[in-house]
Amino acid sequence: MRKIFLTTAVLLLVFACRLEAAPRIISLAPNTTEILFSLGLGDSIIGLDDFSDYPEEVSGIERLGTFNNPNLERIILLKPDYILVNSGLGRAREDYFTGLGIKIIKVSPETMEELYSDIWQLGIIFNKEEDAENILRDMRLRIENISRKRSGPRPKVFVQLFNDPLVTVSSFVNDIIRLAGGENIARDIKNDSGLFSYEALIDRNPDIILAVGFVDKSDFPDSINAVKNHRIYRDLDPDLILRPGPRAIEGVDMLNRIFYE
Amino acid sequence: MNKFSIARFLFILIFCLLALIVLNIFIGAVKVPADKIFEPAFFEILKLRLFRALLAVAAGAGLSVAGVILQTVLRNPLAEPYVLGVSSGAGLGAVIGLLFISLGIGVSITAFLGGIITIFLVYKLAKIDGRMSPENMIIAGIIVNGLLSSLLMFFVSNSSGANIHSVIWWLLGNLQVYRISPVLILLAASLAGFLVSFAFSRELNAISLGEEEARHLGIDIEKVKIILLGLAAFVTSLAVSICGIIGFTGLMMPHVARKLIGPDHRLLLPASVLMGSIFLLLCDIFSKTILAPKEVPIGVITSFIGVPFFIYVLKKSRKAYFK
Repeated sequence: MRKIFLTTAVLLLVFACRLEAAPRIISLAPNTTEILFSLGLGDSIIGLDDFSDYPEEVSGIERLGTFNNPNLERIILLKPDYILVNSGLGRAREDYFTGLGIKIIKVSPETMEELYSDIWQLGIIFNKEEDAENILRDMRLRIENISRKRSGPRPKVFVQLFNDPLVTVSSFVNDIIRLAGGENIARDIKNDSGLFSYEALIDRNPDIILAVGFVDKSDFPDSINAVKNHRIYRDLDPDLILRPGPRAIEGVDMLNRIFYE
Repeated sequence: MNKFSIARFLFILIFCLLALIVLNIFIGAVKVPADKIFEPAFFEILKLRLFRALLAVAAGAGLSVAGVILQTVLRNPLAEPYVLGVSSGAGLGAVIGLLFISLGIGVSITAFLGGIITIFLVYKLAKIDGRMSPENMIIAGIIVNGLLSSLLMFFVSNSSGANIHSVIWWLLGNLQVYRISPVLILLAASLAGFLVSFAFSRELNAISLGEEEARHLGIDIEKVKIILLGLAAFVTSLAVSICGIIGFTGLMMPHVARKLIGPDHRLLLPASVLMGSIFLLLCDIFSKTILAPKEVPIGVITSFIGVPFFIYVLKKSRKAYFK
């Protein structure tokens, strides 16, 4: 008899813990979606932005528009506990959600170290410390292995997002390139992404051009090393190097192979 | 229209306004059954929709007041806050306020400075040899708009990622607010704009007859002009600082009202205000439904409707001008 009581009590406690540990999360950015899934929180996601496309399990989750034009009414009806965003939702909207008791969490790391700490923070918030620890250990180990594979001088790298006008990106990707053993020639641009001067491109003379994004041609003069040595890379998965999420490690690995193959 | 039918017309407008406010409460990104919207579960949504509908009323009324004033004072059928660059001026002021001062009342103040500087700049530019043709006015508006949008793009392109998005979306016009205070502020400003301009009905009527005639009636025409242009800039700037740039709204309804009930400002002003609010409520229904659950920015819709109307008025006014 006592056994039954004890088992029931334990079951009740477990059930209570599960209740406590089942937050309702809306993720409005692809990188936060990927982080949540890697922490094993996929089941807690009740709504996603239109751009979240990884992992496959996202296909069954309700879509709520883009981060700057989300379906406000639907979000309210879904009654989330947390909304995860990349850079933010705009001050007025954030204040409104906060007033409703919804916590807004911003995840927009600029470096791999910041990404580690963001993942760790999310692990703490959602009671997934163990998963976070495992992910971080794995990420750090892989970065260490990659960094041993560097040899020779750092190649100068240009990330081409768009060809006409010439648009590049300078933020998290800088650190991905650095960890892979290269150097983003546009890392002094302050904006997230922006127009890049054609003259500066010729002057800074990249050894490698990563043509990710909406690039249909990269007809640069032969004086550029990357053109001369046929080192313009297309068909790379841009998400691996542009998304500040767990797959960024694969991005570092991919770039490292490109730089030093 | 005779007096009786004008009274009936205004009554119909008020009825339409109330009906559209109610209709707007039932229409939104989420389908809520009509009998459930007043239940506690949907309270937040009801609140947001009500704020939004009231803001449409306030913005439509304010922009129409500004439109009536500008059209009469500048004696130009094409005058309108957006066409003359007042909206862009207020927008630039607001963006500068947003980027450098942060949110709050500061944005409305910088928006007002931007709006009022713009309107007097356009006024000075358009006046050649003491005369101001509709064409000159439009050209002055284009010049000033060009300057303002280049300054705007300068600030936008040099701000960081997150800011860029919010500023661009805000410039396209947005009626969704999250608190009642901006709604009340704009309602108060629009009502004040209406009351002040209504108090100047006699002067406005005199000016619409011609500046000479107004002078003969003993009106200090320059003083009245400055007060009323300042008032138009004030209402427009507040609307812009809260809802972004909603173009052409101030152009259309004053025109239609003038056609329907004539040039007497004691009737023209209330009719324009009501029709302006009705127009924005209708546009917001399109904004919410065309691509639901996504929203089409309200400024996109008003411009889409406003541009053909503008061309029509331009053609007509040219014919009259060269006659």
